[in-house]
Amino acid sequence: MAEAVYALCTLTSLACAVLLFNGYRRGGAKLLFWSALCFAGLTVNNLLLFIDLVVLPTTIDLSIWRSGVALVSVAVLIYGLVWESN
Amino acid sequence: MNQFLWGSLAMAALVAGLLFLRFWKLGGDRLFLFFATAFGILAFQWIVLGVANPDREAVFYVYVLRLAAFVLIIVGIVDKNRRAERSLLR
Amino acid sequence: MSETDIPAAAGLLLRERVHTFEQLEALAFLVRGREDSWPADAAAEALRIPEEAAREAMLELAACGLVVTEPESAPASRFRYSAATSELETCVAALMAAYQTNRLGIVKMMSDNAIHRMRTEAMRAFSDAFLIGRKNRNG
Repeated sequence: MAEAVYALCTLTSLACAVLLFNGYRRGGAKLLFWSALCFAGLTVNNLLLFIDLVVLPTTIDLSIWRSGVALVSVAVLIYGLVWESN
Repeated sequence: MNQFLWGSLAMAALVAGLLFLRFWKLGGDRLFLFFATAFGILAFQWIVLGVANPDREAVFYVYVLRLAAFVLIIVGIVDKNRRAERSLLR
Repeated sequence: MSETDIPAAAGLLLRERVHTFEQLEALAFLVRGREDSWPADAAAEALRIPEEAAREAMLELAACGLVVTEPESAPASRFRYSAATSELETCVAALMAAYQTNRLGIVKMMSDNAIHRMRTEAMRAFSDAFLIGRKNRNG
């Protein structure tokens, strides 16, 4: 059950990243680029979560890396929302 | 360190959520309301992680919250496409 | 007479489809001569704008279902008014009536819309990116 939740988190964030990146390639709005980057980062975050808790639960602890990636991602999104939205 | 990062993440997600809320209020798409809510939920789950620091069993429920946020975004996308199909002038 | 007196159907058309004065004038020209199809130079002469501008405006009207081109495949040589749906027809009728009686209000609304579009362009690009299987309107 937990595996499914982590995997679905990864897939849904990946879907958002792909949609946003396609939109960026079509129209070229910078906001889309930063948002795509954010969701790509959140995908990596969820992927690391899956590896950390499901694939290698006892051997490694990626929690700092996971949070770090997520923080950079959301920061990038905020940058896009503030600077590229008008 | 983790707790500091979770706190920062909660704050950052809250800010992103509020910016999406502003987009929606500026007469933007209802899709932005879905994004705003989703980032609100993300902020909440990072707060829970930071405050409660749950063990391996309990942490699963926190990630269910995270999944709910991403699913909400997908629902918003489906809603957006449905509306575009039904729209008179599109 | 002000913007608030413009009927909703006309306002909808101005928000969603008719964005430039060339498009509005070209639409009015084609509606007046709706029995016939017209080449770009005839429209250009009537509107006193360059032929290229008239052609571009009418191609944009064609792209949003207000005008048909002849021949249907590119390059279009003649243009005829033909609303794709009866709802659109209603909107056009409302817009033309309002343009006759409240020219200033229409002009004001169009420039307000233009400012609003500029301010919300990135926002719209963001939300339009999630339209699956559809071409971006600008791309």
